[in-house]
Amino acid sequence: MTADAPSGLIAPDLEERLARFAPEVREVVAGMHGALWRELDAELLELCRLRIAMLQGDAAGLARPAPAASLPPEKAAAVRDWPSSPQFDGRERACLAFTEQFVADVAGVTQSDADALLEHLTPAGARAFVSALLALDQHQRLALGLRAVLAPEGESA
Amino acid sequence: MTAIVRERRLPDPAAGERPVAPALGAAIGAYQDAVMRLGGIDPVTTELVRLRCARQHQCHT
Repeated sequence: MTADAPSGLIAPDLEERLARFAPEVREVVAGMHGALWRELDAELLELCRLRIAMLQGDAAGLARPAPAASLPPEKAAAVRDWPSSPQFDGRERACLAFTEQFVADVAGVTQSDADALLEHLTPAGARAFVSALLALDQHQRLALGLRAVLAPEGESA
Repeated sequence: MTAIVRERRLPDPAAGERPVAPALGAAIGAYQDAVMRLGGIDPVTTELVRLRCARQHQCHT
């Protein structure tokens, strides 16, 4: 693990597989996740991380401890119902709506989606948020993909 | 296939604007560099995947 990235920021099984097959990539993934959890609103990102895991059917991602900021249990339980749940404010709803579009069809993100984000984030904040989404979405897709093609250490494929 | 859109949906940084997450931006760049340098896949296949990802993300840079 790099000095910039304390343990637990990457899913343990993803980290183990990357360490075996692409240690140089593990290092930079660790640095990327160290930066995003350190530089941005960790609670907001945790909401998005959980929603991404739900949309991708990543049960392990949903079950693992929050990498940086735990949510109140009632809020974490309500993430699926973010459009109507009183647990979420307008900024969180805008970010979760953008997250859903990003995960489901990134090429289908519209100007309206971006404008909704810009009602709550500065342009620089919105650019950083989208970069963080890229890293979170990629992490979970990578974990799901590698679980499918690489056996855990000690097991034959 | 979704039409390619070339207009930026988020405004360009203003002159002198400080980035919100500079280390994250640099780390994403380092990640992309490391992936492109991986030796397990031949360069042509790597480039095909890169171009496919760029199209999917409507990235023109």
